[in-house]
Amino acid sequence: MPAEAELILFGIQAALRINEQFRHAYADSTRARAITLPLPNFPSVPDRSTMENFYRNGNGQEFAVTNLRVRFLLNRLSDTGNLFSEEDQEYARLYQEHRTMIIAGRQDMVGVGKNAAGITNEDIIHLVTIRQWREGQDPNPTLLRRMAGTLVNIAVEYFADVPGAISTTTPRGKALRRFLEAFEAIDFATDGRGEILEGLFVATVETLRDHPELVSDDDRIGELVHTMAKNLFEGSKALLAVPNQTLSEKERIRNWAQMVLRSVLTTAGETVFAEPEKFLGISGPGQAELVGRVGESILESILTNADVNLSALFTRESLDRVGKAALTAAGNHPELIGANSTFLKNLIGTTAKELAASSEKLGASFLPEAIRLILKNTAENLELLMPAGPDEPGKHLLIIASREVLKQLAAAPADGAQWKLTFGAAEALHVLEAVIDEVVQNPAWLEKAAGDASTLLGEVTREVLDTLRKIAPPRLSKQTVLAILEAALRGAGKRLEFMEKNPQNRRLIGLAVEAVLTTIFRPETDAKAAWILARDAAVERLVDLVLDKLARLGVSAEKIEKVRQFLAEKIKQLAAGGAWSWDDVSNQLEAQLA
Amino acid sequence: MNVSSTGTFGRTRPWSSLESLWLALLWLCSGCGIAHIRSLREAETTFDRATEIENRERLSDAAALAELSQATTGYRLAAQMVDTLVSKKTKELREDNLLCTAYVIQAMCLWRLGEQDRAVRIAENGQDCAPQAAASAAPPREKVLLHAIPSLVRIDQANALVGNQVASESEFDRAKVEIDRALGILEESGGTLPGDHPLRAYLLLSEMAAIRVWQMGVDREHFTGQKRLDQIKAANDQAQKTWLAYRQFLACQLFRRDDLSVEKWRALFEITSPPGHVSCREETPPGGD
Repeated sequence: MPAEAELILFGIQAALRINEQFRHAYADSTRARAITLPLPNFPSVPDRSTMENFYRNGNGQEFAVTNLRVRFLLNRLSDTGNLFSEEDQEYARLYQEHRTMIIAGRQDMVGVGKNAAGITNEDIIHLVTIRQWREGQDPNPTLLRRMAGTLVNIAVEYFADVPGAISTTTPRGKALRRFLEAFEAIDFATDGRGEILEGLFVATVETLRDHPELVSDDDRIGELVHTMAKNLFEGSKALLAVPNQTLSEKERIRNWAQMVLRSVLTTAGETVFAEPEKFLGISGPGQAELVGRVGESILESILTNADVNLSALFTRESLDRVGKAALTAAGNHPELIGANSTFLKNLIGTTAKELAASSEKLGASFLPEAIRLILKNTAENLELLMPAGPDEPGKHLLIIASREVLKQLAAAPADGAQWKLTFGAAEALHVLEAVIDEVVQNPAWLEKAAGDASTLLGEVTREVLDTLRKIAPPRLSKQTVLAILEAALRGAGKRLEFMEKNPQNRRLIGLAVEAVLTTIFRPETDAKAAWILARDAAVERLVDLVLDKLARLGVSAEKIEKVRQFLAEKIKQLAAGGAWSWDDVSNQLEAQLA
Repeated sequence: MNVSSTGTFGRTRPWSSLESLWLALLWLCSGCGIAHIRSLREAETTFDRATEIENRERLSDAAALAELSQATTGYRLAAQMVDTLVSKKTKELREDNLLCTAYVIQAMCLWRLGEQDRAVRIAENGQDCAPQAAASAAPPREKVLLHAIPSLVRIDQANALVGNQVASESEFDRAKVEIDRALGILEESGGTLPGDHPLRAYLLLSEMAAIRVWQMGVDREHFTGQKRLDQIKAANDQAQKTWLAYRQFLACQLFRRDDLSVEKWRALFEITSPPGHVSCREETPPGGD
């Protein structure tokens, strides 16, 4: 470890070295900058001299011969050098008429209006903005070329406490060099682009230092660093180019570019390199390009989402998790994340947009995790979950189903509800996972009913929650409520008849849950029976058992009534001191419903 | 969201005080010694904006007085910025080979502000703006512009002469002298540039502006008889020659074959266009900068 004084001296020297090169490059860039030049004063609108040239030397010569008035006016001009006011007007009228006839004859009319022939700013704007040098002929070295040596030296010093950690022959050294190569032809002395480079460089150096596993045994990291840096630079540049941004907004873009680079580089080490089997068929530059596209897509998704401010919701940890899911999606479906594909960005953007309203009430950590879950499951079941195709993220089954279920979870309890607890991010994610499981496990049911699958799932949730809020005692834990909801979702997935309605327009799933809960929680239930059955674990188990039996043996209003009678009978037996065995209950209920 | 400032996010350990100092030095010093460059860029930007406003308003049907005054303010501001910069930082600007750029901005601003004598003086004196080092040379655009600025001033002066209330042949002759000299300088300037340098378009535009002043002058000064016809013919021939060069340059060097300005300039002069498309085959390849 170098002595402190040496380190300070090194810092000063490095700063001076950078500054000197930066000054040269900044001057080069200033010299090369395009400037807009003013034109001298001149008559830019057609006038009498224009008209006269038209008749004497231009396309209107024939009219000077055939039209008496034109001939007269030209002669008058020639004799006196001037016209009377009325003659001037007539002359202009004749010119417009004759000019229009000629243009119409050529069928290439230029512009319309009274001053169609006049030169306008738009016509010459490109031509008076002049670069110093011809395209590609700037004799000055790029800023990168000026700074590259210095940056590499600094990187070497940065790793001074890791002897032999970096040299031009090690993967780490090569990776840094590939980073620099990504910026070879870029003029980043303008528009704060240099600051993007600085941020990305520091992120790369730090990641390579903190994650030695990334650079353990091959050169792929170099390719990855190169592509990631380039893509994120271009992505950031485009985002920075949006007009009217404040300094803070620009700073936010640069910070996020750094953060995404760190995150994706690190997670690529855990996915792409660690599990190459998931990326079979993609190797070398293609693999790096794929990862680069993922990074760029994530950056764009986070920073350009007009509906949700994702940058306020993501943390480094959630970004890592989403990045990993996105990389897995990319590995499974490289064809979707190829060049110019907006699949990931659209999918993340649509998920965020669709779930945003509900997630506001569920807490900040919910949305990133929901995005991760949907990305992860999409990667594994793309064709199943996106039956309308990858270009239609709005019809993604998971997104539709999640939106409907979350809407119900986030809804406030109705007036008069007994059970008033609300759900947070953790509970909502739990339900979301159950919903995803159901959607994935019941493809046929969902595919057939894709049109209203969302409504059904939402209604199951609403029916069950309404029933619970109305009947369950306030002390019932959220976990139990969630377990009941999950059991209901599972049951609904197994039996479509749960979705049918009774004459009072209630879905049978709600009635089934109600049958269990009302039996347990009605005020007249005997204390001895309640002692056994009203425990959270028992409630969960009994609802699960009943729904499972109904799912297996058939669902109808009559069978639910049988369940109600059966449970009432069991409670009577318990009150009378009878025994309670889950196996017996299961067998007896099965016999009743068979 | 806890994104911290550059370089600290996601570290597995906090920055040590030394590391922080090191990075602070690095970042702080990356802006040292470039104040003069930054000032020049600001002046350039101000000048650019003023030019855009002036070009837009001067070439529109109804120029708004307020906009033109905004352009004048921009030119004045840019001129003052460069005045201050040149008086205090000539050495640094020269070392960075930016003195020529500063002179161009300064002279152009003064030209547009009507301070023509000062503009010409700065353009002429400024031609010795390159660094002393043998290997350095004035940048091509700046070198040519400094040479061409007197011609731009002359075009303005000719335009003022033909546009004033006095209508006489002698007034035209005065204007024509300026136009001829302006055209000579502009052609000479264009000749020093590589064939495909974009500045050539600007020089050709300026030439056409000068010829337009000439064309209008014949009428405004109430020429009569054969002299009128001769001048109209001469202006027409010159306009056609320059317009063809402009069309050729745009099509073959800037690859703007369908640029609308070509037809608009033709219509403004009312010159005839030779039949057929522009052929680029005869163009010789451009030299280096």
